[in-house]
Amino acid sequence: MTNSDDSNNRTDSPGKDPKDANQMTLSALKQNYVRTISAKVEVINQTWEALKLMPDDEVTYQLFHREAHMLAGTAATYGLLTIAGYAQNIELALPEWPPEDSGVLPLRQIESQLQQLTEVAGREASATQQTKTMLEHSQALSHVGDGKLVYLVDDDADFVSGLRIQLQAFGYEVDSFTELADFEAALQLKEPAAVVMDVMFKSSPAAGIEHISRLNAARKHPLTTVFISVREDMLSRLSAVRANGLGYFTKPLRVEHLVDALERLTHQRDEAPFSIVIVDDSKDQSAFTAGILQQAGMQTQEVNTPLELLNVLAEIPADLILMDLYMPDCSGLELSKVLRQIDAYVNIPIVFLSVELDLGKKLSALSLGADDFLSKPVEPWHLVSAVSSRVLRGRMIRKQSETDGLTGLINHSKCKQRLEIELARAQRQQTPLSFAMLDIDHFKHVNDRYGHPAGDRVLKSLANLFKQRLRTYDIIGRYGGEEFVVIFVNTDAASAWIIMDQLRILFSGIEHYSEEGNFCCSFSCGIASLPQCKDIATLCDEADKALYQAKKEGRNRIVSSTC
Amino acid sequence: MNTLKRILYAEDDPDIQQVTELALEAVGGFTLKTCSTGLEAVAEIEAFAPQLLLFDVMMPDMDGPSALKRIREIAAYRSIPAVFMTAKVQQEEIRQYLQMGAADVIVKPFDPMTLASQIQEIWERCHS
Repeated sequence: MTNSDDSNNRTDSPGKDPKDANQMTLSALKQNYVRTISAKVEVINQTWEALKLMPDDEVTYQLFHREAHMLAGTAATYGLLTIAGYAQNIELALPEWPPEDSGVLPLRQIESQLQQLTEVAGREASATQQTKTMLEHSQALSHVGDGKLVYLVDDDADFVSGLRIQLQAFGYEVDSFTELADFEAALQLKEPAAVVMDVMFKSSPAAGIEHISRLNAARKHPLTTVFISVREDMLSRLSAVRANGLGYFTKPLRVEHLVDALERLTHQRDEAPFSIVIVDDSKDQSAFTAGILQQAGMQTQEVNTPLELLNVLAEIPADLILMDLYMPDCSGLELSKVLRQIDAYVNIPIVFLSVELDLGKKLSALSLGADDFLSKPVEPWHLVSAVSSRVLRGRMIRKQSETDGLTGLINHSKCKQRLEIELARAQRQQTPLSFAMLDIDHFKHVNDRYGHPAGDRVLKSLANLFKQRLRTYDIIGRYGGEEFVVIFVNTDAASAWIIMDQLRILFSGIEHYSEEGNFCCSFSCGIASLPQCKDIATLCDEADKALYQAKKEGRNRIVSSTC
Repeated sequence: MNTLKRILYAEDDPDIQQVTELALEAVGGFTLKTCSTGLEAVAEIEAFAPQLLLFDVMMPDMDGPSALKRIREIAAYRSIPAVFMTAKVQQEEIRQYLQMGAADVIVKPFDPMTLASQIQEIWERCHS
């Protein structure tokens, strides 16, 4: 909560310090390196075999030397001192080129070191299995992918450094400039995803806008620019729009508004391609249809045995089902009846594709919940456009019914549904899964003291932070009120704890604006995981208990279920 | 004294590149231009305009010392501080690098969490 006493925030686990993000990247890099070490040692062994065959060949000799040298230096830097030691022994055992006694290598010495090196490398590699998710997460947390680089240009150095920290907390990579010339130079080197540009500079009261205008005039595509300014006049706003400015924010700046705009403009989470399931008993027909849709950039799944459809839908989130009307075992009409009786599939658009001339049948198909009826043979462009428009509408409707309007996250019932799907998948594939439930600390107090609009901004900030910082396939939902959940696929309890703790630290560092003055918030979180919890009820129950425990222990902390 | 920001870095081992980038960019806050060979570093220097060079000694194509020699021939970089990194620990070798004008030699393994402050110290020493 507001400037809460730091002594309450202690947790006896890693992740207390912002430096830990770097430490975590380092350990991820190390694990990555260890995974490749056997292969590297293998290469050295091969070079050695080659060198034994031709001890007079300088190229092979130098290559062997360099490989051993590199391993010695790199392994030591990653803290693998034993491996580095053997590699260095090999390097030191090698005489300088050209060897005095040409063609004679210190065979025994090198071979014994190589053998030990190979053994140690094998042991190291097997000890560091199971760390892939950690690495991915760490990349999501520490390395910001391309397309998230933001250039911040403002001649007020203090303002710039403050804003920079805030934007970085949301996961943007920020380069800041107090001089327009420096910004222009940086632009030559690397293109940012967005530019946040001040309007007024010492040189002129509209220098920022003029500068962007001039740059855009020479460019093919205008820079994605958001202007910030103390100027509120219409003239300034108008010239910003004319300079292709996509947003205009006045100072004192409300960071959450800026982040909202950046999130929108840089499309942090891209729309997934359309996923179409094609049900047709004829393989040739379904393959033909699939080909057309794939060419239009859609993903397709063919089902040639209608009774398999439910199994397929359990695995693949379908945007639309394209169905043949006449099939053995069960007709398309029957199949759509079955689907419409299952809650999860009530909203999936169904389009029939068949040689059906009888209008009565068509109408009956539509009344059963089919969304469209296409007669074969259908023109490829017609198929693509009919499918696309249905999918877009379907997605829009789904979004309205499944997401929370304030944060854009999925809502309670959708969370439950996704959790069921992911849990079933994890059990089938025998992969771990973690479920985190979190709750903003003293949220009622925020609303009471700073007002509901400020409370809403806190909720949005948390959602934006999570959207930025988590992997795209982690599922984030607003459970209700100030409660959120995250479903971490293929992630064990320990990894989920570290990630949530990073988010906890970042979130508690975000300053929220209010008319009563700026303030900070924290959250408490409970985590439960598969395989420890076997079913959805236990998973939710255990996460809830852990969250309660976190609150009881003093809030602003992450607790893992002991189940 | 100017603040140190731009470092031209040459190293052929991608595993060390990654950890150095972490050490100097994420931890140290410097702007790094990473090259994989000495030749590439020589080619990049004018465009990047670094304030300090950090070169691995042993690299294919052109090693660190040769690259430094070439760079010193450019008038603007005659006195740019240069730091070598090497896994070798023989004192004789270190002396040799210092004699050819290196500001310091960092011996691998280095600690990624303190490398930036080590570089900063060298920078300050060069300007005191």
